[in-house]
Amino acid sequence: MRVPFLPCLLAASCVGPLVPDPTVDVDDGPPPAGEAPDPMSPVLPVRPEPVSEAPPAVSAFGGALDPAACTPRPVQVRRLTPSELESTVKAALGVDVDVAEPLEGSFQVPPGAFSTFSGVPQMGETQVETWMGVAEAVAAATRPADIEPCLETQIDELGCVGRVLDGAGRALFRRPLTDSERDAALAFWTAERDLDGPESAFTRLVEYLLLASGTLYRTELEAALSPSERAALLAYFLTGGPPDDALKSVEERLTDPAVIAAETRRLVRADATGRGQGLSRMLAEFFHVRDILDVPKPEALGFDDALRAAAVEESELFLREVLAAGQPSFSELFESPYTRVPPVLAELYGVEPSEAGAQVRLPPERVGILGKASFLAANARELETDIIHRGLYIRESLLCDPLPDPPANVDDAFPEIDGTKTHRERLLQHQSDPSCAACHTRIDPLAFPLEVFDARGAYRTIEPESNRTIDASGWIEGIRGEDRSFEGPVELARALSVTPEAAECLIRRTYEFALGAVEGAPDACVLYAMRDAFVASGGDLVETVVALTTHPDFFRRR
Amino acid sequence: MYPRRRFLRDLGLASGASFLGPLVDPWMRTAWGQSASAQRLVIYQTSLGTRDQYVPAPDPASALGFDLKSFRALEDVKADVQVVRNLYNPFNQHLHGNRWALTSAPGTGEDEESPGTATFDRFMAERVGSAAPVRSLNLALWDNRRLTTQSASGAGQPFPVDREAASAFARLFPDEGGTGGEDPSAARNRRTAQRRRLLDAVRGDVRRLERRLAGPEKLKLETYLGSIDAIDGRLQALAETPATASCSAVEGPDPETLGGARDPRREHADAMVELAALSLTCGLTQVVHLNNRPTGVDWLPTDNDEQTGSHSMWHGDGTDLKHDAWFSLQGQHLRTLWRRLQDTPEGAGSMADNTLILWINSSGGGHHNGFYDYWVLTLGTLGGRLRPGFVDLPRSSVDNAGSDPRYTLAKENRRPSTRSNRDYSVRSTADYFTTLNEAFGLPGETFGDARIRQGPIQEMLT
Repeated sequence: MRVPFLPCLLAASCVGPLVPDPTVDVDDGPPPAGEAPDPMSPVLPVRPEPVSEAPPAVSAFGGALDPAACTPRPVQVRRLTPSELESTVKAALGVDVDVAEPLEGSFQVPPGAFSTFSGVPQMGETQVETWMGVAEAVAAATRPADIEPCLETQIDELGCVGRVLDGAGRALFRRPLTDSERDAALAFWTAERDLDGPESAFTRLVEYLLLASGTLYRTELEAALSPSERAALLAYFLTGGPPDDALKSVEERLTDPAVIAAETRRLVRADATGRGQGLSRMLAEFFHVRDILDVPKPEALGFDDALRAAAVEESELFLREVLAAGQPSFSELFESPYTRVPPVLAELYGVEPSEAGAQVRLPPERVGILGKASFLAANARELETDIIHRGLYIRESLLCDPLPDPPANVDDAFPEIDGTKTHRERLLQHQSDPSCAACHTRIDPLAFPLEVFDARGAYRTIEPESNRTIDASGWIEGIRGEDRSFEGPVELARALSVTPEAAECLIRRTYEFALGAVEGAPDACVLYAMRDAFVASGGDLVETVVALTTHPDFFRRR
Repeated sequence: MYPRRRFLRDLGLASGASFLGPLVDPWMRTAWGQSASAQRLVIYQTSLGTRDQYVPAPDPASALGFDLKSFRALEDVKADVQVVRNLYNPFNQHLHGNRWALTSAPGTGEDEESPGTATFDRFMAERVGSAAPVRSLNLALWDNRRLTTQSASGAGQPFPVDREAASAFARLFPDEGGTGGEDPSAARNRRTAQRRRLLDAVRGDVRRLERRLAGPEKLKLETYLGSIDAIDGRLQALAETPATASCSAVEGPDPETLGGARDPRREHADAMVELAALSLTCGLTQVVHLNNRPTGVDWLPTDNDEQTGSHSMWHGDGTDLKHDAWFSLQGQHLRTLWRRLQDTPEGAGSMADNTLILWINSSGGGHHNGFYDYWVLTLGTLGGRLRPGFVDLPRSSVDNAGSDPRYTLAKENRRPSTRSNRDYSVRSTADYFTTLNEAFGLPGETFGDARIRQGPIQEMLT
C-alpha cells in the first residue's frame, strides 16, 4: 500500500502513537526481486503516484526506542576536543598559540562520529606526545604577570604560586582544585624551582596543569552532576568552550529548569553570533560542511582552494544565522533562500557580489543547505555530478538510514559516458539489477533533483555530457512505507524539511553531540521530550535543545 | 648532525638532487640502544583492491618462476621476495572501507566498525618491538584529514596514525640542541630529565582520577597512563644512549616544501617512507605500519580529459597507465625500504637479514571484492626461515549453502551470496600471520580467529 507523504510531524494533531500499530498496514515492503523493471526498457522507473489517504500511524525514531525507557548515560570522563582545548587554554591563560590545529591530526574520532565522541580511549602515545608539544608551546608563550600580577615580583614564593592555582588553574580545570591536586601541583613547582629556578618552575607548572586530567578531561562522575560539571556540560555543548562568567554566576542554580532554559537560549545565541563552535559546529558536522576541504578536485574543474574556503564559510555562516534568528526553524535549514555569498562564490551562484557580506536572496532553484556549493561539490565526481553519493548523503546522513554495503563482486565500474544517455539514464542498471535495486531505489531518486547542479554546484538545465535537458524529478522511497515525489531541488528541500525521519535524525544526532555518545542505547525519554518540543514549537531547533538541557536525565548519570 | 638540506636533497625536493640516496651514516644505527639481533617488521598496507594484470603471478618464463608485473622495481631484489596467493579473511569488510584486514578476527560495534583484536603490527610490536624506544609507528603516506587508522592495539582501541610527514618527523626526532653555547648532549639530558619529572607528576595526577573510575572510563585513563609510561621509557632509553651516536639531531622535511596539511603529492608519501627507513635504521622502532590509503593522488598520469583521483580510477576512470603507476610506486617504496636496510650493517650482515617487509591490500581481490582473494608479498627471509618464490595456495569449490566458514563467518552483506560453486581460497590470513609468527621465531604463537585457522602454511617456510 502506498501512502501519501504529509508534513505531519509539524502538526501536533498528526502525531501518532509512539509504538507501531499492528493493525495499520504501513509498508508493503520493496517489490519482489522478480518484479524488477525490464533491463532493456528505455523507460525510467515510474515514480509512485501520490494517493490521498490518511497519514500512517508511525512510531518516532523508527520504532526502535521504547518511549518509556529512561536510561541516563553512564558516568563518564570525556577528553576535550582540540577546539575545546583551544578555547579553554586561551580563556585561562590568554595566550595566542594555535592549539587546535596541531592536535587535529592525532585526536581522531571514528568515521561518522561527531568531534565530541568520547567512546574510545583517546590518549595513545601519539596523542600524548602531540599534546605535550602543544603544552610546551603554550607554557613558553604564557607570560607570568598576565595571569597573576604577584608573579611580577614574587615568582619564587609559594603563596603567589598558590594564587596561580586559584586563578588560571581553576580556569583550566573549570572548578577549584581539590586539596590533593593543589598539594601535588605545589610540590611539583617546589621541586622544579629547587632544580632549575623559579622562572623555569613556572613554565613547567603551566605544562603540568595542561597535561593534568583536570584540564584534559571533563568528568561526569556521580549520579547527580556537580554544579561545575553541569556548567561545563552546558557550556561545551552549546559554545564549544568553558563556562563564561555569566554561566559561572548561576552555576549553583543549574537545577532550576527556568535557569537552564534561559542559559541555553543565551548560550546558543552567543555562540551563533560569536565563535560558532558549539551547537553551530554540531550542525556543520551534521551537514558535513567541511568535507569539501578534503575532496580532491582536478584543475580543469576550476574549484580551487579559495572556492573551497568560501563554500565552507558561506555554509557555516548560513547555519549560524539560522540558529541566531529569533525563532530558528528546522525547515529553514532546507528551505531558506537567503545567504551571505562571499565574492568568490557569487559567479557560481549566479548572483551579484553582495556588499560587505550582506544577505542576498538566491535564485529560485537554490535553497537551504542542499543548495550550497559545500555540499554539491563535495558530493560530486571530479568533473561529473555524483547521483549516488549525493543520494547516499541524504539517505544516511540526513535521514539516519544507513544502507548495507553493495553485494560482493558487484560490477562497480561506473557506466561510461556515451554522449547520448544522461547520468540518470546511465544509472538505470541500478533499477534493473535486483541486487542493486534494493538499495539504489532508496538512494538514486533522492538526488535526481540535484542534477540541476553540476560538479561545482553551478546551476544548469542541460547536461553537457549528453546535451540533454535534465529530468529533475525524484522521490523518497522507503520512509515508513511512504513515498513522496518531487520535482526539482526546491521540492526536494520541502520534502526533507517535513520528513519526520529527517527531524528525528537531527534530534538524535544533537543528543549524541551533546553527550559525546554514539554507541549504546540513547535515553529514549530525552529523545521523545525533544521530539515533543520540536513538534510543539513548529520545528524550533533552540526549543528542541532546551528540551534536552532541561530534561532531568541531561544532568543525571547512572 | 644530519642537515635539513641533505634530507631535502635526498628526498628529491631540492634542485639537482638524486632521489632517496643513502640517508643514514652507519654510525647512526647504534643509537637508542638498538640490539644487534633485533627483528623488524614493516607492514605496507594499501587499499582499494588489486587487479590481476598488475600484481605478481606465476610465469615459468620469468626468473624464479614468477613475473613481478607492476612491482618490477623489485627485480634486482627478487631473490628476497615471497608472494603468497589465495588467502581468505571472512571478517573483513568487503567494501573499500576495509579497516581491520590485519586482525583476521571479527570486529566490534554495530557494523563491526571497531577492531575486535589487535592488528598484526601491534601484535608484533609487543613481541619484537617492545625493547625499542617506540614500540611501533603508524604512518599515513598520504596526508588526508579524513583518513582513519588501520591499526589497533586491541578491541575498540584504534591506534592513531601520523598523517603529516613534517610534524611526525618533528615528534619522533625532536631538536634537542642546546642554546647559548650549551653542549648539545647536556642540553638533551637536561630536557629529558625535565620531561621525565613532568611525566612523573602527571602520572600521579592521572592515577588519582583513574582510581575513581571503572570499566571503559577507567580504560581511558589507563590508556593515558600507559602512554605516559611508554614515553617515559623512551626518554629513559634516550638518556642512556651516548650522545655522539644519537639520531635525535636529524632534521626533517620542511613543512612548507611539503605543502603542509592536505598534501596529496607523491613527495609526501616518499617522505613518510623515508621517515620509516630512518626510524628503523636509527633503532627508534622495530615495527612500522605504513598506511597507503589515499583519496587524491594528483601525481598519477592522466590521459586527455581523464579524471584524477584514486577512488574513481577503480570505477571506470583508470587507464592501464594509471593503475600501473599506482602499483609500481608501491614497488618502488618497498625497494627503497629494503635497500636502506640492506645498506645498514648489523652483526655480520645487514639489517635486512632480520627484517620482514610485508605488502598487503585491505581488499581481497578487486576493488569491491569480498574476502577470498588476498595475495601478499614479502621481502626478507628472516634468517632463512621464509622460502622466497611464488606460493600458489590451493583453492576449492564451495557451495554457498554449506557450512563452510568461508561463508558462515562472513556477514550477510559481505557474502557473494548469489554465487555458488565458486573456487575459493582454502587457507586464511590467520594461517598466514601464524606462519609469520613461526618465521619470527615465535613457534606455537597463533594469530587471528581460531575458526579460520588451520596452522602454519608449510609451503612458505624452508
